[in-house]
Amino acid sequence: MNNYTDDYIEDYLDGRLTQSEKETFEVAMQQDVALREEVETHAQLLMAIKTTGQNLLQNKIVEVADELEEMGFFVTDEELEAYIEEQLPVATQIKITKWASNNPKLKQRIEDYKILLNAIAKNGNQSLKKQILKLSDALEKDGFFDVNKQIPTVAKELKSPIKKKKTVQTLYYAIVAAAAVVALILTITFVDLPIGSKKIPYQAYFSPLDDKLSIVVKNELSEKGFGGEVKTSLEKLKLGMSAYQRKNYAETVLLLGEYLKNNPSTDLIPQTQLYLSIAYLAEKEPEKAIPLLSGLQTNVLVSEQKLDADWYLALAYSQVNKEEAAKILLKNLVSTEKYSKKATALLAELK
Amino acid sequence: MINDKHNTETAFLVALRRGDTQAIKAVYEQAYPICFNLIIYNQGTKEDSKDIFQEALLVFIQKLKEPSFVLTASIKTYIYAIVRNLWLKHLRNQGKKGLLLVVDEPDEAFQLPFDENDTAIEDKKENELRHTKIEEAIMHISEDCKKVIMSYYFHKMSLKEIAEMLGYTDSFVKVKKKRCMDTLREKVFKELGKN
Repeated sequence: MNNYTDDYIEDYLDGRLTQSEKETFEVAMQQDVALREEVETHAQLLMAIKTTGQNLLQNKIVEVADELEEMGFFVTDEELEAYIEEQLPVATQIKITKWASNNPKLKQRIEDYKILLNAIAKNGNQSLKKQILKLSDALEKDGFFDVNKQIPTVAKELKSPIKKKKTVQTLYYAIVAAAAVVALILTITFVDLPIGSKKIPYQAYFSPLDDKLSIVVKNELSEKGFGGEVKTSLEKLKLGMSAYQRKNYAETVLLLGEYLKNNPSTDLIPQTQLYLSIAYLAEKEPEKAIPLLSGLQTNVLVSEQKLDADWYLALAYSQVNKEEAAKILLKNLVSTEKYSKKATALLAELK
Repeated sequence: MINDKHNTETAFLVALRRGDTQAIKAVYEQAYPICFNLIIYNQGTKEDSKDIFQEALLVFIQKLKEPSFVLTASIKTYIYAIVRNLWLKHLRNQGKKGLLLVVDEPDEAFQLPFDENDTAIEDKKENELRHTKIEEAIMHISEDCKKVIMSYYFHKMSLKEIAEMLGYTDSFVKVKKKRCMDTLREKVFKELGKN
């Protein structure tokens, strides 16, 4: 039995004793085997406690990492891109979809990435389109499409030698190449503009109308206390306008379309049709927007919304090669405060 | 305001030292992305970054427990520096010489005030069986005792903090700690076959 407490032994082991205390204690240990063994056992106990603690901590960190994994925390940007492009194995696609449904941050990352990729694609398409159209003009001037003429300019543009020898083979290749260029141009322009239309810089004129419908829907839902199918329909309309605000126009088209289908006669129809038309325009489907917008001309809308409808109808007409119909609407809009500048500019483009 | 911020930071560090789940998650959110970039840009994979980050986090929390340790930079900076050192060591161990570590963080210049190896998990090779038996004994004591012992000896909490956590008085915790250590010692002797 010794007079040293556990606390004193711990102070010794942790180096908290003074130099003279330490020396005295070490002398005591040398003289007392039991004390020495007690100190040794205590040291091992403390070591084992530390190791156990480290293992527990390590397990905790792994546990947290596993939890984060199940929330999709470790999904990289490359994986996100592959997910959006649906290039991941099916099981992984399903996993990420599940994680996104449970983790708003991951869901937001995916949405943001989609917007970014779309913007890059649009930008890339526009640049490529400009390049192709420029080349096409150069080809036209050089008579590339006229197989009887020589084409020195194109040879220079393409930085490759083109034989001037008028052989059957050369003529054949010229016809095939011309057809390919035309097909390529038409394919690119078809993405953004209808075939055969003029080069209207659509993107410069289109911008979505501010959402004034959501507040109306919200009031309808809260004040009138609808229930059952009516409430369900209004909730759908609310979701559709939420998608509109997020610029998710595909979803907007789906939800607003469903609302109109299931509610053929409510006060909200004209406004819903207006926003649905705008969503169609944003989705580059002007041919679907036109019947809706034309129908709106005879409906009861507040005067400002009638102007909005006229503007978007003019834009839609300009996209489907109905410039004369567009001009009629634009001439009326020129005298309005809201659309004067835009209508004047678009009218100038169409002339 | 400054006091509130200081108090919040201190509370966060205390929670992290105790291995609190939310605190660990917060560190992941703060520091993992830049650490991931460091490893990916320097010949690593996603799995490498997860492993190294876990190791770095363990080193950092261990270091936090040392009474003499003072945090002189942000947690993110520390973890990043530890990850950088661990990854460099890993690459060197793989025999990759003449490495240029590509980094894109202003914290890259921060030098750790300690060697991350100082706090590496204790080498159990010596007396491994004995240690294992002692660790087993620790896992088999009562939950109360485990809490008191781990809180005092591993998490470096004071008796007062332990008393507050468990709802005991300070004097009771002191007695409890002694009894728990005695119990543990008995169990250990039993495991090791001593009287």
